[in-house]
Amino acid sequence: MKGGDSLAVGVQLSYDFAAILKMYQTPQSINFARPMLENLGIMAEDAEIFVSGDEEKREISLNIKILQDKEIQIGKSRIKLEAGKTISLIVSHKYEIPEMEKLSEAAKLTIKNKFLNADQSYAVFLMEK
Amino acid sequence: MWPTIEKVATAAKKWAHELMPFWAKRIKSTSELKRRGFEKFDDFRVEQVVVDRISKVEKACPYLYGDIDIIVDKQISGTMVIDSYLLGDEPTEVEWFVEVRTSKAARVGKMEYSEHGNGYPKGYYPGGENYYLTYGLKKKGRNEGDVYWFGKDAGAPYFVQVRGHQLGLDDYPLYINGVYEFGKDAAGNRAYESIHRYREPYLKYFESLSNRVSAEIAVYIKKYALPELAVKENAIGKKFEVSPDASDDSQDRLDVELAESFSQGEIDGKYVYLLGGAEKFLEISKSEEYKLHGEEVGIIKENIAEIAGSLQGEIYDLGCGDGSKARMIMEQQRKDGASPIYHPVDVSPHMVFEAAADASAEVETAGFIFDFTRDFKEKIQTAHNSFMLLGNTLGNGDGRYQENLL
Repeated sequence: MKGGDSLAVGVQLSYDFAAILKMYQTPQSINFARPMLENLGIMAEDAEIFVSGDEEKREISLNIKILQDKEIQIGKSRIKLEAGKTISLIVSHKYEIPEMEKLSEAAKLTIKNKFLNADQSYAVFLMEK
Repeated sequence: MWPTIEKVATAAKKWAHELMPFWAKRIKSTSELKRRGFEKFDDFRVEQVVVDRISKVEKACPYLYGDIDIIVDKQISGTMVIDSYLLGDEPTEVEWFVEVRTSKAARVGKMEYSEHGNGYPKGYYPGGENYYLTYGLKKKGRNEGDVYWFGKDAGAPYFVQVRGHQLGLDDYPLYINGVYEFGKDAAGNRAYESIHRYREPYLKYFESLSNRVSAEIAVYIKKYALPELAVKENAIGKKFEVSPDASDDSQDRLDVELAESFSQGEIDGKYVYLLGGAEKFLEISKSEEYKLHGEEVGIIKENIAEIAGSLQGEIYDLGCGDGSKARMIMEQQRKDGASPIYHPVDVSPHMVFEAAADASAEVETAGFIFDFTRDFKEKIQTAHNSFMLLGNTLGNGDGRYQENLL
């Protein structure tokens, strides 16, 4: 970004971690990663997908647990996946307002305004360089 | 009876002037084949494939199918290097293009028959699921007039098109007039001479080469240009451009990164979108249960005047999704008298096409398919910009990722 450029950032706030985790624990969220795995030759019987949360880090992760030994080909590489191995797929971090202020300061961005929804679970920040 | 001296002399002359040079060339060309690592004349290697540009245009082509209007929906162009004995002594850099066509009838997904009852369904590609591809190749740097096209369209016979004349190999005797120097045939002659002189024996090499090169290009087209999206109702009639960061190199880089991620036990979320998750995500984001989307849309709606007023200049929608939030903002900007320029950006071609196709026809749209979490600064060439990083995209990684992204 150059001086005078603007940025709108929308983030989910860490208002009630248990509720957030529950929101992710749906068949829709879990099946979100299935096409990727199938494209790599990892079928439903080869891996289990589950959601986990780390309240301290305010992070939600989508994970795959390999159920049986499997070899997959990615480009020129042959990868061995051993039964029991868990791979973290997606991390979704949830924010607190002061954390966003720190992040913007580190990036030399000025927060011009912030808009929150009624239950303060989501915020949109307007920033400027 | 012994042959006469005249007959022997004629045979010797023929040997000296025709057969001997032919076989000499043949031996020479066979050794040349071996030197280049080929076994057959139609063997080839494709290297350095790059997709440069995808343009969404509209062009009526009524001459192709009688009274049927064909729209050229997308022109996708790029370059590639083909190493083939048939194309020359050295690997040849060629420009390639693909036109993705669909008929107007496909816009509404109906089968309609032409007024003259000529048997062609008006929706030549009905139901929005089929498409028509024409592939073309030309040597880099050549003018349009020099184009020697290899073509293949869906379900139709292979054809060669030279200087605007389309020649169906199955239906017409091959006639090539004025083809520019193109390469050499199996006997070491110029290709155009050979085709003219020998026709059938060598034509098969070009046909084989064309089919296989077309198949190579098709892999990239299917992956990055998503021809099936061209027949979506909302996509037809819209004009936009997409610049994909798509090449053999970028594909190799992604493969290496993904392989390393599997070994390390932590995979970047972008691969989920890239490998089929994008369509799934769009489904999820449109569902009632997707609370995140609804909350953000609600905030934008409530504060639309201030948000739209703050995002001036060209808009880069990073991790654009279906572009619905950017559309709300740009609609407000247009109401306020501005003329927004929209750049949907995502690593997933599916997302970029979805957002670009759904953008208002009034909004100039030029998308980018690349990983905006890296090497993004170099891609931004415009002077005054606004960026949108919505949908908690910032939170899709650890602290370092977040700092780098901002």
